[in-house]
Amino acid sequence: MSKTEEEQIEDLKRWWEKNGKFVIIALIVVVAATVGGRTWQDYRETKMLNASNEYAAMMNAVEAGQGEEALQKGSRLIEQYAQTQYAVLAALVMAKADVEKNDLAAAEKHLSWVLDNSQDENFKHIARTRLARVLIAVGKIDAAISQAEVADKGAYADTYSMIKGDAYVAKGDLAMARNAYETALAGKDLTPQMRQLLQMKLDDVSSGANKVAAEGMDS
Amino acid sequence: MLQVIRDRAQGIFVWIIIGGIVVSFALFGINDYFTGDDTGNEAALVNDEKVSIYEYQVAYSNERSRMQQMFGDNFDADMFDDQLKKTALERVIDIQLLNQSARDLGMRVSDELLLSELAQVESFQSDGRFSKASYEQALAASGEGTARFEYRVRKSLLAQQLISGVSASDFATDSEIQTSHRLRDQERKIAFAQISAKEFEKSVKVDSAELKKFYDENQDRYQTQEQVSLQYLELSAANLRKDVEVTDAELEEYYETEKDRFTKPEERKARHILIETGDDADKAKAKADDLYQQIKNGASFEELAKAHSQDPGSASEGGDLGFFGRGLMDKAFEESAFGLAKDEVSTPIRSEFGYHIIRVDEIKSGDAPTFENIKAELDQELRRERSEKLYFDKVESLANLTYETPDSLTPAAEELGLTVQATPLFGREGGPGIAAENKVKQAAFSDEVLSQKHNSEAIELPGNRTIVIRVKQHNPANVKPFEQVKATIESELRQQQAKQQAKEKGEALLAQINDAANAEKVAKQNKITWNKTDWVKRSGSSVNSEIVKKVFTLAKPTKEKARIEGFALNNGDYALVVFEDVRDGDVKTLKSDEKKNIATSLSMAAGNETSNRLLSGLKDQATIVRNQSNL
Repeated sequence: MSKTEEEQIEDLKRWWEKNGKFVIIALIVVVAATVGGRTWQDYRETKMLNASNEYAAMMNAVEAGQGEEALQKGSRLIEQYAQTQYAVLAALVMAKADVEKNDLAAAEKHLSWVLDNSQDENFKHIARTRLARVLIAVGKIDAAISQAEVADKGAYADTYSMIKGDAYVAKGDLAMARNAYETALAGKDLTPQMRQLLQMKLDDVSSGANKVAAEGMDS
Repeated sequence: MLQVIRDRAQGIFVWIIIGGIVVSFALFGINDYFTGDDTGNEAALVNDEKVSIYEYQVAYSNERSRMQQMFGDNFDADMFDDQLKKTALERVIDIQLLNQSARDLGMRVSDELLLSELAQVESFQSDGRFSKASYEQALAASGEGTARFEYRVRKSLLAQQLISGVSASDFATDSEIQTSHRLRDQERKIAFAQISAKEFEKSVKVDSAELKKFYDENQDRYQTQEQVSLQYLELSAANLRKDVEVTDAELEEYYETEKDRFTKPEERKARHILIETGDDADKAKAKADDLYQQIKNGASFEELAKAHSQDPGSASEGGDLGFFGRGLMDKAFEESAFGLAKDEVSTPIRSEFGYHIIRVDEIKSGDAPTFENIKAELDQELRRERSEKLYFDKVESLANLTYETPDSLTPAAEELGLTVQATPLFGREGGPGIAAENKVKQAAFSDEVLSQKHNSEAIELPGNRTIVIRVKQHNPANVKPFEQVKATIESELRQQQAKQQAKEKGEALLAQINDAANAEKVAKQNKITWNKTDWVKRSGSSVNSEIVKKVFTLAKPTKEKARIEGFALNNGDYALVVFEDVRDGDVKTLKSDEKKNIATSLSMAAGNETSNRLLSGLKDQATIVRNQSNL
């Protein structure tokens, strides 16, 4: 025997009295999570787009030769969009400006910031190699060498060797410099300009035993 | 101060985008390039993302025109085609990789950025400003469509944002600039002599037993190349044209069926007065009717158009629209304009714009050209058509006849009225005329034709030509007879021994030399020209560049002791060098603009190096499938 219609409605009411609260709360939680997630996504997406626009504006200022303006925009990127890749790029661009103004302490700071804040191995290497070069320029040779001796060198091993060569030349240790330059020159992916520069550096600390530069090294 | 970045930012990757935009219009008309995307026919897969053939083709034609620009007319693009293809493929893979990496890093291209990039493209502008209409038109013309185009540009823009951020931010420190200048402008103080191998050549004795021995031991150097000459029959549509008969009657008949093709559509020159409907159609109609009445009563159409027409384009011209054909104007307008007689004025006509009063001023009727006018053209056409048909009929007979009699071309030649022709001897790399064609070269050296001495299959060549070849003469690879190469061997051995003697003499002298002063004495005693001490630069010096190059790789001399070195040169001479001193490029006299130039070029070198490493790092970690066969 099936229940009458009233009985069914009664059942439903009782079930609702017992479980209704829970259902509503569950619903609210699901909706809030979805909306919140979406909002968070939207927020992040908007933030990236804004950072991209800011960065483009900064590079436009650079292109137009408006150095001060570019630097202001760069600082703002680093402050307001610190978590984004655009802050990393801005810091790299600012480090270049620092070097050109011969403010090496500032360059050191910007490059260290990238090293500490970038989550990306490639950009860590880029910042570290540049930092080591700045360290050589300010005479902190041992600090530069220890940066260049980082365990994981990724695709940048030849660059690190090259920097080590420069550092040892600055230290006056020509044998070590020779060694480092030879290691770097053994790399296969060097650009022709870099290879030529390296060969010249190696030749300058030559012990007379190294071979004549290979074909195509003429300047 | 930041000018350098700017220069750099214009560098490698920018042309990809700008170039890409322009070229896609220049080269591709129709949309058969898009089908590739959806069918698995992509150019490459980069970490499971597709790189379309279209993207590759844009890169390819970019690369091609870049090379063309670099090398001018001498550049034979076809010769480097494989290289071009490879470069173009790597280029699009690079962009895809950089794009992926940028996205993973949370980089984005906003609509504003995209738009500002598009706004710079000339073909998207009208009156010097970006115009959406021009943009859409240009992309419709290219067949690419805006959505796909924007996808592609966004991709490149993002890749560029990442890579230029890396390369343009590289720098050169002061100490790097100084080192570079010190080394590049370094000079080395040397004195030297060149012991000429030529001098010894005369006195060298080479006996014939030696020659024969050398010949026997180096047979591979005296190989002659395998060569063939061919007999062939050539059937071509062009040659058949003279055999085609076309009578005047046939031409006239052809004229009747084809004349529509030559008929230009009718065009009319008309003026109009437009009264826009606006909110009140009745009022507009009343005004148009009134104007129409005025014209009927003799008022000037032109004056009324000037005063009342609301078509801004034509009102000031007295309503003149110039010539137009069908299909250009509003339907109702067209019907009326093409229904009027010359000088007739229409009653007000309703179009979607409003009410028009139209007057037709001139009619260029679309008459068909007369038979006499296009007779020559038709004759050409008909002959071409028939000779092609004849050609296709005969191709089959040619194939059959030469197959049936595989050891001669004569029967086929007689049957088809062809002449047996011949080529000179040529090797596997080909020769003049038909021997330049790849298909011919392959066939000529195939087993069928070369070993079995059979006729080849019918070989189709471009331009409606078909040939059948057979070998006329075959000279297998051989070793040149001793007598023929004796002289060459003798001069070679003579040079070798002279070189050895120059070296021995040089080494003997080297042992006697202690310093520049005594070197000069030693040289004099041996009647050798001694070049006195001088500073040489890395380049641009008058001293033999081989010597200079070597000198710059030598260990530096000490204050007390010069370095004394001897080494053989490529031409067989032996060089004696006394290397006394080194003088670095002077950093103190470096001018600020020179310094800036060095900084620029060093930053660029460093930036290129870094971006290369970034890319090769990305490549190492990526899974890349290159579909070379699709390209």
